[in-house]
Amino acid sequence: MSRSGDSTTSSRWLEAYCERTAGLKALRTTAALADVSGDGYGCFVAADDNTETAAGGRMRVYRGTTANDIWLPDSPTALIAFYTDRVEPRIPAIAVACGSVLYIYKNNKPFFKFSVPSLPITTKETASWQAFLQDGPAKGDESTLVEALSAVQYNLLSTIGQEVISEPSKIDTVLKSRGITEITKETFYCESPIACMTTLKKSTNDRYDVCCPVLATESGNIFILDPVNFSVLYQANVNRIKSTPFLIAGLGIFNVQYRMMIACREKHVSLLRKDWLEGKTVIQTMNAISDLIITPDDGLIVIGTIDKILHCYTKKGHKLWAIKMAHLVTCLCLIPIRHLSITLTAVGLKNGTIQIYHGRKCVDQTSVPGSPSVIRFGQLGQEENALITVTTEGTVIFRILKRTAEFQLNTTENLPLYQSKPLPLPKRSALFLEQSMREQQTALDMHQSFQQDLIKFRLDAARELIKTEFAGSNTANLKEKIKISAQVLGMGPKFEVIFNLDNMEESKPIYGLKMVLHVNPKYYQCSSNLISIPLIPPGSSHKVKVYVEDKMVDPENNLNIPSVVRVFIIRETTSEPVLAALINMPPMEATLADPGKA
Amino acid sequence: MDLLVQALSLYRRRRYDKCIELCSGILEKQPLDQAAWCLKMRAMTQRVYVDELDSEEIPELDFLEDSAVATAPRPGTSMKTAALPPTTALASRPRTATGRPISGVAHPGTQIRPGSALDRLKTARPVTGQSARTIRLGTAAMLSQKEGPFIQVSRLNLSKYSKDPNLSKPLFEYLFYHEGDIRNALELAVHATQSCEFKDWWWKVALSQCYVGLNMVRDAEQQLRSALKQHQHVEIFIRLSRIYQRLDQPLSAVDVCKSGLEVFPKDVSIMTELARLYEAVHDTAPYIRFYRSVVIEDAMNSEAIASIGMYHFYNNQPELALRYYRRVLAMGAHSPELYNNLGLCCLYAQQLDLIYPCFQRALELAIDPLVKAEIWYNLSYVALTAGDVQLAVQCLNVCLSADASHASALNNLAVLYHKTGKTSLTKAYLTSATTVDPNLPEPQINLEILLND
Repeated sequence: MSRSGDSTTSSRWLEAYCERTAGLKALRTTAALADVSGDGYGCFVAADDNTETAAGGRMRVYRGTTANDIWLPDSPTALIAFYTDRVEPRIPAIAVACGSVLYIYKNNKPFFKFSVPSLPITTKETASWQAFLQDGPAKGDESTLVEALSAVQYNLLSTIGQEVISEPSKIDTVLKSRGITEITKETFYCESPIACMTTLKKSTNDRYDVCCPVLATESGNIFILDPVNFSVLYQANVNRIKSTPFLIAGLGIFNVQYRMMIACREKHVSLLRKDWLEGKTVIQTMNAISDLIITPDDGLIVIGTIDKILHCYTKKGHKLWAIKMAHLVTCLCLIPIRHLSITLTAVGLKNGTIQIYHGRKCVDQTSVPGSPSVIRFGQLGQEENALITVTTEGTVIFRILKRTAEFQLNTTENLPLYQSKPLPLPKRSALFLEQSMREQQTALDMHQSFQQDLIKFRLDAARELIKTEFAGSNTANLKEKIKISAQVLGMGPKFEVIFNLDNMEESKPIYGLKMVLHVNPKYYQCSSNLISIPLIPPGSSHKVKVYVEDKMVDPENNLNIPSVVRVFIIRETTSEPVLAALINMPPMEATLADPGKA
Repeated sequence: MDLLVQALSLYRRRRYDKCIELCSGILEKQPLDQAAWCLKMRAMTQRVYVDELDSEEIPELDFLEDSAVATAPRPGTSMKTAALPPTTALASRPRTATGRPISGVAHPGTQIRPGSALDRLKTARPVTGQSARTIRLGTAAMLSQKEGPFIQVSRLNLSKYSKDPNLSKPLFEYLFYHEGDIRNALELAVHATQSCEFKDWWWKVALSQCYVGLNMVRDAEQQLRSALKQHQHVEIFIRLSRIYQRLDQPLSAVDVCKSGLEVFPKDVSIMTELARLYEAVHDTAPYIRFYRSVVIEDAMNSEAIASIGMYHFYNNQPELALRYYRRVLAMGAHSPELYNNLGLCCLYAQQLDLIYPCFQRALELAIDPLVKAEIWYNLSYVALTAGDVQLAVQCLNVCLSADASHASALNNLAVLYHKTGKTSLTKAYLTSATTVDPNLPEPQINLEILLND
């Protein structure tokens, strides 16, 4: 991080283009980089709701800095670019999902349209419709029909059922306009909009290989399409439980082995592998997921959640690390840099910062005006390494990575650490098991006796405390908030005793105190026995130095003279000392006392 | 019965006072009776004899002397900068202020006072390597001589006595142990070893003892090395190992002990010495292995049993530790420390009903205020485990009233006050904890956190 990306002089990125008035409201899923015309000139393709006209959407293709709009019949939900064949020149198809229909464009021209197979309606709905249509459209039945339909899950309802539910009063016009008199497959079907898409390499891992589009629908179905004739190659369910996919990422080759990670709105990530009919939950997050990517080299899953945390999991769903970010993670993007042969991760944050991570280490940082809603990295024009950012405000920013840019990578730091590595704890012994058996069997007795002991313990502690209180050997007075500590220095016979008086009060100073040193004059002599203490400001301390001389009455300490000095802190107005302390005087070194001996 | 025979019998039955009386009686009648004089000397020596090998503290290297080999030793080659064990539970063992892990038993080297030699100069503690024991022994001898000293050492003709092999050895022991007069003992030993043409290993050991007492450690090493060439004895190996420990060369000490083990396989004293050495350099695996082999040889060795117990306690197996400590208890040891350890084992092995009885017994037995303070400190943990913060505060206050300079207690009290929201008290207690023990990391870290908030 020596080169921070904030100042343009030291940034690793060159500012290429910034269009603040683009008004492009692209989503995480509706942007891609593709060589649209097949001439090797990379274009940025994004789709959004057309805000100018009432319905529909648009697909905008940036060729260099010139934008070209293509109108879409409906709001786009996902956009992918992929090669459908090996015919030269290689022109990729751009597929835009609008509702349950997939529109495929080639060279900016409509090429194919695919509709997600409709599902049969549920038996419950069939029954309610049958009841309604048999009796003829009588007024009284409408409410019962609406009631019966509401009992069915909304996204399992047929399109007509959904219309009826949302506007029950217009039921007649809805039915009449379509001329519905009986239940047929053609009129009553359940349609599920495409929620997200990804591509899957068909037979080789080559960059220009033919890819299968993978579609995930709101109802939790996954369709893998044939790139040539757009028929369904494979169909699976996202999960056993009800799940609504909104992000999908795939890794692998369709013909060999592949895995797909599907982030669902139910705060979990499902794994789908080849030949599985339904996915399996591998990751469960505490908060909703904001974006998900899979690193291509080691298959690690990086997830941003809305609680400002960036997670990383292994492909089996073991958590590797989590970083708390300063701001909300809005989008993620892989940054494969071929000439450095590394793959970094760009993390877009709500405040407009884009951090570049290598593993769990932040290696670069750059910022954009506004919060980024989608980041893409790849070939733009002739430039191999371009970073395209679209912000929520609709600004489009193109940046180019400097050819000389290097990222200080510490290889050891970035190895995935298995934090779930067990601690080196010893095995549980048989004795432990015996003891836990004892605990189980005599739990009640143990608890009762412990409670009794605890009461006894409290009593003993209180008694001991009272004893020290009466003996006046407490070194801190909590009422007066004053504390004394002492230090004995020297080797004798003359000792230096330093007392430290702390005023623990926050606002009040302490004053009017005196210190009395109580010693047996036969054995000890103090330089001064009564010391008046000046005002001690709140929160500070005062040091008092006293010399105590051992009179050497009994150098061998055979007479068991208590070698103590008692200290009392007194207030002149009260008879009871504020504080009292006992200082044990150390025994003297006989050698120093009498050098002639030993 | 002949009085001398009677005195000898008393000596053998270890009734030294009566033996001394009898000998004094004989000497009054015949002042030149060498046998009685010798016996009296031996009895007086035995009366005050202390096995200094098992009681001597290994003093730290003095900052005043320059026999230190390296001032900045490489890790693993010194007991001071011993490499810390890898991150296991064992590494978190409480340590003394000098950095040694607190062991299950008190053995030489564990009772070292906190602080470096330079720190100790400031406090009233013994400074030089010449331990206070020699001084105390000398003074104890004075007391027994109400009518004046038995031998006027200054008047002794040491060179004369040194030629008599029967008298010189008891005289040396008398001078060394009873009188505590190392200089004269050394002089006698020098004369004696010359008169026996440097062929008696005993005198070399005696010389080394004197040199150690006079802090001439390298000379002592030479004497012991030469003694080893003549005769191999467990004591010599252990003394040599002690010398290397004093020079802060644990690896050489280990080598000496291992060569000793080759001569005396499975010798308990040498294995104990090795175990202590490994403990000092924080090498857990061999330390526990040697203590285990000690227990195999000597099933009643309480030091080894207690040390194994302590190892299990800090290795997260309190239930095994409990078993070992109970074994020590069954062997007849009744000390407050043992009951305290038993209580702690019960606490961590979740034998709730036995915790307080153990601690209660420990409190009843504890007389030393320092031990009492430690027990109350541990009781504060019991209170915390029971979830009673107020009780824990009380326990810590009792602990502090018994030992006002208990830095850990001050720190814990500060933390508890912080939890109850008394920030000014917290700060005062943390500051006093840092002043009491500047080496303890916890109060310093806590203080930093507090000041940053």
